Amino acid sequence: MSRKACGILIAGVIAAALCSGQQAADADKTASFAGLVNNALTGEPMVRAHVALRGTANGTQKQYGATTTAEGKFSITGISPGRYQISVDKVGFVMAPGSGSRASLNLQEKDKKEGYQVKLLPTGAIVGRVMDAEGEPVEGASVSTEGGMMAVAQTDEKGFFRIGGLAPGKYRLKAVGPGAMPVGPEHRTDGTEEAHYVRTYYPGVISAKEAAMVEVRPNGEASGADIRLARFPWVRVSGRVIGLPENFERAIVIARTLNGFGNAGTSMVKPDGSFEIWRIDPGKALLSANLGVSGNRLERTPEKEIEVGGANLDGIELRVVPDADLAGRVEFEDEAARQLFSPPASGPSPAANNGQPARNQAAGGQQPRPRKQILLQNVSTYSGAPPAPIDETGVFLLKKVPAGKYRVTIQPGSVYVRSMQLGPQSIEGNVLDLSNGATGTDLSVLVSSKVGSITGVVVDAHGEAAGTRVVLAFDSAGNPNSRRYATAGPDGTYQFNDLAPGTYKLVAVQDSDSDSVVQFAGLDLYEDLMETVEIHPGDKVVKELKRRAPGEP
Amino acid sequence: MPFPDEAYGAISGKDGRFSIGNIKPAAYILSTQKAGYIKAPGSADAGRGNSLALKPGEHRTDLNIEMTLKAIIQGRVMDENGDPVQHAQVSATSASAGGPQAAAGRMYGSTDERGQFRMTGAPDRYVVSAAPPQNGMINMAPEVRSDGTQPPAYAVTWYPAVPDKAAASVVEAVSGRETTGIDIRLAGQRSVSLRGSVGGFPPNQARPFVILWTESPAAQVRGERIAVVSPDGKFAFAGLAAGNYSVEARLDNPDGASMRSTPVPLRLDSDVAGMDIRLTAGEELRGVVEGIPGPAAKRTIGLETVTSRQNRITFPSDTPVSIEADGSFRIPNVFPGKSRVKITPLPEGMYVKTVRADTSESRDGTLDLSKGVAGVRVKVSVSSGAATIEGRILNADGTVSESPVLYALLAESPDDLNLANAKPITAGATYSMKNIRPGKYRLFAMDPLQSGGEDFLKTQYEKAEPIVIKEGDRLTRDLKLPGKEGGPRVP
Repeated sequence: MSRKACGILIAGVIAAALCSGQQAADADKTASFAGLVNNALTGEPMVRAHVALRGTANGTQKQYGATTTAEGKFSITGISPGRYQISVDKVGFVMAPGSGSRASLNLQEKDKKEGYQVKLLPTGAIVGRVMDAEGEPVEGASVSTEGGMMAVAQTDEKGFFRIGGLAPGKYRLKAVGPGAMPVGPEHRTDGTEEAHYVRTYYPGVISAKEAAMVEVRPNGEASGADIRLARFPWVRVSGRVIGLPENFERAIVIARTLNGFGNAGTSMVKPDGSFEIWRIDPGKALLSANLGVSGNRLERTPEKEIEVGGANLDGIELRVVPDADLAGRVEFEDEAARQLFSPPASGPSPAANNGQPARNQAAGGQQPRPRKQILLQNVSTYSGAPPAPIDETGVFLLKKVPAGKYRVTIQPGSVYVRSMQLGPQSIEGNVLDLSNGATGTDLSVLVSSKVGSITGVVVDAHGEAAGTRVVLAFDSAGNPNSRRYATAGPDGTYQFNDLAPGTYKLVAVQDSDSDSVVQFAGLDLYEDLMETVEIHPGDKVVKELKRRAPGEP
Repeated sequence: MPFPDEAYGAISGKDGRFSIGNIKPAAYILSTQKAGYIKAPGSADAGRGNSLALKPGEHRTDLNIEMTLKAIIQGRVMDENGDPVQHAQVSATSASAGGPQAAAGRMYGSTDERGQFRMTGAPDRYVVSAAPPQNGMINMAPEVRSDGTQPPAYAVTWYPAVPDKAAASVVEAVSGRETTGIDIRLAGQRSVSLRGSVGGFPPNQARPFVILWTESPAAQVRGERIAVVSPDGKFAFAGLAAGNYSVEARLDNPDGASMRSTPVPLRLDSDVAGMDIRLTAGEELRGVVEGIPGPAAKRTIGLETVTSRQNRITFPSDTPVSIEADGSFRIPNVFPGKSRVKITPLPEGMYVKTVRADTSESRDGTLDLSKGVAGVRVKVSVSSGAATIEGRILNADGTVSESPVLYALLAESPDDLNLANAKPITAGATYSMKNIRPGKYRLFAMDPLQSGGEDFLKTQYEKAEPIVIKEGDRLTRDLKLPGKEGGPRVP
């Protein structure tokens, strides 16, 4: 009985019995993984650390685990061959840099990987106080780290906070006062004035660039990280939402910080469309109105970038532009690009599946040919339209595209968008401005196969830096969604393929920076290490990248 | 909850006195803050919880607000080996029966990498619980171990180490004092798993996913877990607490067409394997709206699934569609099930009188498509003769409520008890409801600053007298808020 048949007859009891018999017969083909976990500082074995392998085998998600013994040893047997990520966790420890962190494991049939060594580094903590301009403690302020690891703590009634469990490294620290109603300054008649405090970086600065770094050492407690909240003028961001639909029930204008989580400010929209946001943090923000229209339906206006400084920003117009379908076709610059789209010489015709899909047809089945699709990614926000398939004649229909500015990509890669024609308008490159909506326009997309690539080696003070994350971005702010990531291999090499010509930023990040940290906290912490690479059509660029070694400033 | 427009404030002097002048007459929420302090339970203040309404020319000089130093509870959360548990969710619930202590509600905290937590709140007697860290809603493949150990599975545990609240030791939290050493050792829990397969989806497309809704209140955190179905059609959830669940599968194609299964309620006491879920494609539902005078266009029609669940995931196919000028409509991606027909906006004095699906007709505004959607033709008849109800919202003692935010709820069944669909009353304590279909309802009011929660709504619904509304009724009914139970909640 084949594996495929097992997949199809899953529900039946008999089949289940047969399948488990099959698994037993497969047992001799499984792989195993064993090793040792030590404390990176003391060299002592780590007891009760959790070792996990996560990955996919035959397209199915798998997870294996073990707990280390008193000697720090672990062993996992019966592993389906496949590619796995190794992770070791223990409360109060992180995987030491360069010690198999983010390492991946490729297990073939009957592989026996033994003696794998992992070192765990004790975490550290940051301790400090948050005070207002008068030096009074602030209770309920949120203090969070930016950098190696993102963590948050609240201040207690004396203004004290402690952020523990931090991977050793350098951190930027910021404090936000306790939440307040989004209204203007309190009206007072007792001679006092309400102070406006804004997000403040350690030790008391508004700009992230001027923030002092706090160094966290293994097992160490960085104390005295006191933050004095910065006062800022009371500024108002106000304007009007234009084109509110008749049946709108409620609308909120939200200012979103360009980099990172969260709202910089909010305001209800009054029935006449006007809005007024107070208590907004200085800096760049994206402003949009979210409309609740009958029932649970939500609509939003395209986002507008604003820069909040010391003065009121009034008269901002947010226009409700309806979503619209965008039809178009793909044209080919060269024969190689066309080849990628032409239907396969043989194989099943796509029409064969047009009848009623048979039950469990998905099970087993032949390998799907990757479908070509066109994708619009908003250059600065997460919004967009679902990708649309491209048929064999190159025709596509993007449905319900919200107004906005998009980067156009064709997936899967190996081609790039060279130019576009939107109605009468010619566009060089792949950025499509639909800020006024897509209504009534046809899009023609010219694709080229002359993609570029960037390869190289990541090095640090200790030599080649295996397992390092490399981030490729269009700019250091911008939409984290449009970034690409690669992991340096065992020899420190990394690779990005299928790149459209253009200017890219490239940086190797700290080991402890998880992808989410890099996505949300931004890349400005790495500006000194960032490389700029210019890609022309067909370029193959080699670039060595430097990584900051652990503990290095 | 609406945002306020304006705020007034003052800083109290050495003698504790404060003064605010030139206040626009309106209803306000009164809040008092000082680091380390909390409003004393039962503090008289305005006499009506946190609400304060000021009439033109009114001068209030009788606001005496009492504050007290917060009480602090500290401790550690450990696993069965005595190792610290990080990110455990700790909370303290009042152990006093009723009384004003519940005023400040609960205390919340979470543990650090040493397993330590510190919570502050109102002085009271508490029971303290710790919930194991949540892994988020994305479901990981079950962890397979071959070394004889088990992945940890811990239940919500009450201080000092008991799995049920009734056996918990009471912790005394005293104003201005730290109650330390509240160490909780998490109790192990036998976890159960659910495995099965999903069929009926076309190959070479987006993968379906299975949503497991937690129905068990014992799990404390209500929510869902999501498992992506593997290419061979299988799914698995492991590490689940025993309890009541509901399972459904969904498939969202980028092309817009989506598929679903019928949600299945399920009680899990032991491992379940071989659950078979069928996906079916959504169908276009066609119909016509009759009885709207003039052009029907510029109105939408939507189907709202009949459920009181507040946290359901919504999909684009739930979106209302525009009604054509001739009254016809086509709703794409409709799935079998029961839903309420909603037309927005309804003309004045009109309501959805009948909903006809082929030969069966409903008079309660619902559309029953449990037997399928394909080929069904729907006729929605809108009729004049809708009733209206209006009235004032009163306190338990008969005076008009001064709360800045109130809700009046009219419900035909407990399924209608969803505050997300109710409009808050923000300008005075009068409510007015229009476009009401004749029928048997229950009508009651609530003040979200005083009380809340799904259970509260259910209790009030059950307590409310049934009201029969006839065609064309223009009713006036004053609604009394429930008496204070547990006093005001801190906003």
